[in-house]
Amino acid sequence: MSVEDYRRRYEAELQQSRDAAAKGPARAPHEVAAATLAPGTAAADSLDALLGVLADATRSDDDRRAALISLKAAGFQPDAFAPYEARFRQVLRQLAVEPGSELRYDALQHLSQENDPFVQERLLEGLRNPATALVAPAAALQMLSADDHGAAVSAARDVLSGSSDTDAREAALGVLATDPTAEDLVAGIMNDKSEFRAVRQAGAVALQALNPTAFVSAAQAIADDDGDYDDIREVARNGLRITGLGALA
Amino acid sequence: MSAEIEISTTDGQGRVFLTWTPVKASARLLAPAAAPVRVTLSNAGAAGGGLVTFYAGPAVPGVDHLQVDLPADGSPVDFWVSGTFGHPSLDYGDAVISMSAGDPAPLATCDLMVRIRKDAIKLSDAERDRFLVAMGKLNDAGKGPFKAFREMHVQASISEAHGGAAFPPWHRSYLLDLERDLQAVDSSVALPYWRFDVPAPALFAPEFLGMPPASQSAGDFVQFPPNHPLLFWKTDNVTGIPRRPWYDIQQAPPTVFQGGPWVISEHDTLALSDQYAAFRGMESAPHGMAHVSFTGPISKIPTAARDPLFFLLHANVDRLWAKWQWFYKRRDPTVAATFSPSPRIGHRLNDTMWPWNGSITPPRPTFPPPGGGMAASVLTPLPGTAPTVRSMIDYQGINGGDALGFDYDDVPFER
Repeated sequence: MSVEDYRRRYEAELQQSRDAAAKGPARAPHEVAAATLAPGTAAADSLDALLGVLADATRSDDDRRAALISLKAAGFQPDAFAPYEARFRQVLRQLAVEPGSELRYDALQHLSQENDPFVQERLLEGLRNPATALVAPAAALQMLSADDHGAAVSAARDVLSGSSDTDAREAALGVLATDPTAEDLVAGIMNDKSEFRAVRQAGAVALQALNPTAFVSAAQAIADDDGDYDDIREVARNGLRITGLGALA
Repeated sequence: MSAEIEISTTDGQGRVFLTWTPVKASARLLAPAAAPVRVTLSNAGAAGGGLVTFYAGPAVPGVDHLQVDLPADGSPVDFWVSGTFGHPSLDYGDAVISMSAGDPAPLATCDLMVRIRKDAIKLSDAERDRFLVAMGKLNDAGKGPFKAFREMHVQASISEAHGGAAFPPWHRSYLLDLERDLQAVDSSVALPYWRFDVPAPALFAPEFLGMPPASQSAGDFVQFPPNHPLLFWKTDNVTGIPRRPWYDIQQAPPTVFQGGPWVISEHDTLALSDQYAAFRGMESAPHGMAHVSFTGPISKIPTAARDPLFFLLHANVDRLWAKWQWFYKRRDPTVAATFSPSPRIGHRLNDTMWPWNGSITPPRPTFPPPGGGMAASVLTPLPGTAPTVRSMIDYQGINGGDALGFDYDDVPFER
């Protein structure tokens, strides 16, 4: 197709789309684009309303989840959303500990990305005392893994020493991937043929993060071991391909 | 008798890359002949591979084969070449220029690649894997050059790239810088895009960018098979990629949500306006809405660049801008319809853009700019180490001058 024909075809497609839009609810181009969030605008009023819905435990989970998503989208107009940030965080913290709420996970997940100390304390408490857990151990450990202060390291070690939950063991290894004192532990798991293979995979990834040189040595041995599982040998080979000069410097 | 073909977009290893923008080439006899030799330049590549269009001059219509008369004394004859729109390469060398003088054996051939950014779900398995391997090596488990790209898109730098006129140009520059680093790993790689207004389940298959476990009790980290190049992906302190869609991944994200525009269609995006000031409202819908169609780092500006999906999302945002530029013929940066500035520094036409300009002077971010200047390309001198907003606008060199060295599979070069 020539470029000229391509243009003609695209013009026709665009016109069809405009015609279809014209038959629907009236929506001027400036309405299709998101409105500004300047105070006093309808959109800004809607943010207040959305925060109200999110905070209201009598509203349905669907309504509240829709409000949460809309508020997160408003965050992509950062200058205008800045005045709402503090209140948004406050509402999310309330939601994070709201008994029985299906949005508790979403709130914890959002705040954990900011290393929010309020949720970090509660996630750690839930790992120490399962009766107070807000989410499953694997999810809690993953949410805590972004913290660079190592608050979850002790909990991660406890999971590895005492839990048979494979999801939690994998997540624990993700946390220990930042703990230099855990090198021998994760290396042991990587090499343990009696360990669940998904957990060994997580151990390999953790060792690569902690000590690429040690990983290369261990991975080479696994890759050469005809008696080890094919998928673990593939993880080893994969890591050897990826590990480069930056990691070994 | 022998001859040679030279093309201006040849790298240091002798590899030739074309986009849709015509570039200069030449042909000559390698030894004097008794008389001028008439040769025909034509395509001789693999079926289904890239195709080349030939031009007798820089502003004349292209043809699928071209006759030129080579001087007997070996002087070069100039001509122009581009990739043929709609026929990108799948791999290096699947496009071949053949020069013949009537004999069965050609006088000269030139292997090359028509290297084009494609829809991610239309990549071959080999293209997909080359891209993923290059990303994995660039990340190098958190210790590679990708770290700088992650650090460019953070809370402290939000205003450099968002909420103003430079939103499209800044991200175009960002993607170009990343793509050039990927091409330093594997020169056959072009950045693919996530066309977020159509269903893309293949993009979220385990072999590509993956999905988290079905149950949230196992967490939100994407699960990769043992041989996946992103298995060791690490950003900040975290190994792995947390991401979970809240929409049905077998479909596209909704175009309308809570009564408002959401991940609106390509056509609706282009229909926002033919004027730049209104068109860049796409920063909210569909761009922002595409981001928050998932939970995880990609759903927030300061953390979004931790997820490789971010770059495919923004490649589509850039493609939408490129398509808008093509459709409405918006390439002259001095025209307000093409670009209308915001008053903030970094968002005016001749402003250099952070971090490539190395600035630490307020109101620019005051921490050390990550990554240094823009990566160079042997294929084009543009945009230089400290790109300006202006330098991102006429990316194909429509108004003369060099191109930036990339194109999209569905956005042609058209004067």
